[in-house]
Amino acid sequence: MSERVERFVYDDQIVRMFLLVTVLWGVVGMVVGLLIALQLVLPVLNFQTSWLSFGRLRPLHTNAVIFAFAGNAIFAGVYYSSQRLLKARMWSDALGRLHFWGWQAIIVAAAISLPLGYSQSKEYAELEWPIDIAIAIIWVVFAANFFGTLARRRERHLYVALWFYIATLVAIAVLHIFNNLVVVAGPMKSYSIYAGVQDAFMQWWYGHNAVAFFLTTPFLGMMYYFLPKAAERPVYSYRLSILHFWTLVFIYIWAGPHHLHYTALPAWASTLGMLFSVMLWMPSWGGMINGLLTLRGAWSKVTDDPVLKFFVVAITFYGMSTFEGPLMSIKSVNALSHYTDWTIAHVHAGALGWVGFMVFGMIYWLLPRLFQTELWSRKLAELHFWIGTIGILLYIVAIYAAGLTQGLMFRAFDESGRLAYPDFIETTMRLIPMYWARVLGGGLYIAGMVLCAWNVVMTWRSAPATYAEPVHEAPALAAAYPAEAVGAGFKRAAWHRRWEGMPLTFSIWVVVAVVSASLFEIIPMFLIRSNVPTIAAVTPYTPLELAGRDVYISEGCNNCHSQMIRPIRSETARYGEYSKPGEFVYDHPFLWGSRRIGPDLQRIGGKYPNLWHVRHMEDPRSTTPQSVMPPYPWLAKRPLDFAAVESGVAAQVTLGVPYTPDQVKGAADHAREQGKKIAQAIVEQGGPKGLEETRLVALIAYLQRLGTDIKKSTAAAGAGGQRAETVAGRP
Amino acid sequence: MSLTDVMSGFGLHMFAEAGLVLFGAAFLAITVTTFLRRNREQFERARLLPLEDDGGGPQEREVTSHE
Repeated sequence: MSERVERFVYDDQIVRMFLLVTVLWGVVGMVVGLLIALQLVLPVLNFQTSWLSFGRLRPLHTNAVIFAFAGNAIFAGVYYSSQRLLKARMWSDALGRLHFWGWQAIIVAAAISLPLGYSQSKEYAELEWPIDIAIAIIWVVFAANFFGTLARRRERHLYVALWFYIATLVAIAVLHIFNNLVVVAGPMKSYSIYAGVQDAFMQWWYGHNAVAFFLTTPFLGMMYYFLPKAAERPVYSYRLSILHFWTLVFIYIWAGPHHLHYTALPAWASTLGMLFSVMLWMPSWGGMINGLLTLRGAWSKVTDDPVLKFFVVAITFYGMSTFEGPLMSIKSVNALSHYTDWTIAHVHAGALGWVGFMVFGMIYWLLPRLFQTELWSRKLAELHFWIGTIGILLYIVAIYAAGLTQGLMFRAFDESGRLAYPDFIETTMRLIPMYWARVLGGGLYIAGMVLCAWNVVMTWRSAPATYAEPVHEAPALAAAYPAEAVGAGFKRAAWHRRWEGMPLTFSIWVVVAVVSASLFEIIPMFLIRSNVPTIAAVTPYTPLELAGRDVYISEGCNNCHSQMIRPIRSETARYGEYSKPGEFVYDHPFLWGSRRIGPDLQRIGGKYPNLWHVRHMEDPRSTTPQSVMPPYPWLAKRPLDFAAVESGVAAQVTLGVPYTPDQVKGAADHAREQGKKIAQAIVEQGGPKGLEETRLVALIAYLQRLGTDIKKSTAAAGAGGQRAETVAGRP
Repeated sequence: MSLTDVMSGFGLHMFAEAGLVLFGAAFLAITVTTFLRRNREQFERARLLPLEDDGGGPQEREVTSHE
């Protein structure tokens, strides 16, 4: 067969664009992280301002570093490496620009909407439905451009890095869509179609796999490309990379339920999640070993090359984090670590160590190539490496200590069998020195990030006025594999090479692996009755309570307070009766939380008088002198949107919550009525007047309702009319 | 009889065990075909792919520039 040689140039401008915004959003996301770390030691830094309060900024921090910093880095790495591995320019420059500007617009929308309190509450999926739709569209644009490039490639074999990119593209699309299925209740308000246990399951199926397919697989793809480039050595074992890929893609998707051990999630799902999490040790360490051994014979370069230094530490952190993750998924370990800073330390070991250092290594390797000049300062890059490394270690050691300290204090009993630290605030106060150490460590890491930004800007400034566009040559893609390769058949693993050569079939197999594993957990979770035994006394929230729940979500209370009492003695002794699956059947979305910076609120209803809540929201330190909670003075000043109350109830009806048509029509009046009663009670208790139509009263109504249903007798609920019967009749 | 009845009849243990068997079979198949078959030279070529392209850097441009 005669080979026709084709000439082409790569689109590096799109890589430059993504690289520059990676650095920009990295600084922004991390500075917000530093601010919220400071707010935990100096609550005054919440500035009594709604859009600067911890509950609203915490999701901004996580979304910014995941989707803006890591996301843009992924796109830079994918656009650079894919073109070269495929020997083809990206399919469409226009789609590339649409992808870039669309993604930046989404980030800006997130940076505005989250501080304003528009949130779905689900971790790393907080963005409201219009932004979710935009994400789906832009993701499709990215996928179209990527698969279009695959289709017109000049290299038949798809290198392993591209498999990881394909897995990222298909898995993130599936996860994003199914976790964000909602019923719209307003221009920036929606309710998850799932409730309680099932919503929690879907969220952590998403949440865990967002870590897997957004923060792991694309970076592994980048590791398999950029590490050999930097080390000038091929990957240690290509076979190991095949095994790494398929086992990771198949196993990861099952592991989500380990985020919900000992909660109201059924034990079978929890055990399954634990088992597959432990199995993740195999592929993760296989990948880490493959990465480190790629440096065989090149270790001497590590001492001189900041790029390799970043990569070595990143891969080491990948190994440590992926050892620790399965460890934390073991139920008895998780019983201690869950709801504590141990999880935060684990996440930051992965995010700062693995993701961050992979990004920095890639940036420093790309800078001279993209900007066609020398790196402005190698010494600055070296300095970045060292202060970044010290920063990570200071951060995680302090926060591991905080997690273990608080976890052990939560469960400590004295000789008489009573809680050793019955006052929650005692466990918080013990963490303050460690939180200061975190501020120092995080500050150092950010200083490194700023040095990187400086180096990037200065390198950019010394770039030529016009970039050279080298022309490359490669033979056009042959119509099929050479006959001898295919003719050898299965014995020569031609089947796998065929997959690799046919991206569509390959992608379908990735979808099969991801979806089949998901369905093995999702189908029984949704269809088997025994998963969520119903409780007749549990009835829907009143319209005002529902509105209060929306306030709770908007303020991000779930970022610090759980609503899930595990059936563990120390928890029932501290908070009361453990949580039952049937208590959450009307919770769209679930609000179980994942970290207790403050106490659990599942049984808060009726614990304090209404006036206590008024005082507490106005100034938490007036009721708990050492509290680190932000004040919420605006809640007593801002009126409740009663039109939104009605649309909220109507949306709940769409979701199957058994409100009658009359209840929907009269929702606003009912809410006003209940608001008046609560406001009256506050006045009678010696509190301020005029709160009846404020957000504060709605929030108090919700808090006073929390966890009280199961205290009502079934008979009393039955006497209340049809609602209790309807509940009992639900599947 | 609804789908819920059918699914409830299976019992929950079945899903976990079937999933494990499914994974075991897939893992075995991939391992065997990856490691035991003699396709060394194919993989050898594949692993060199990242090193085939130029980095677009200044030192390589002369090699790849044309006209």
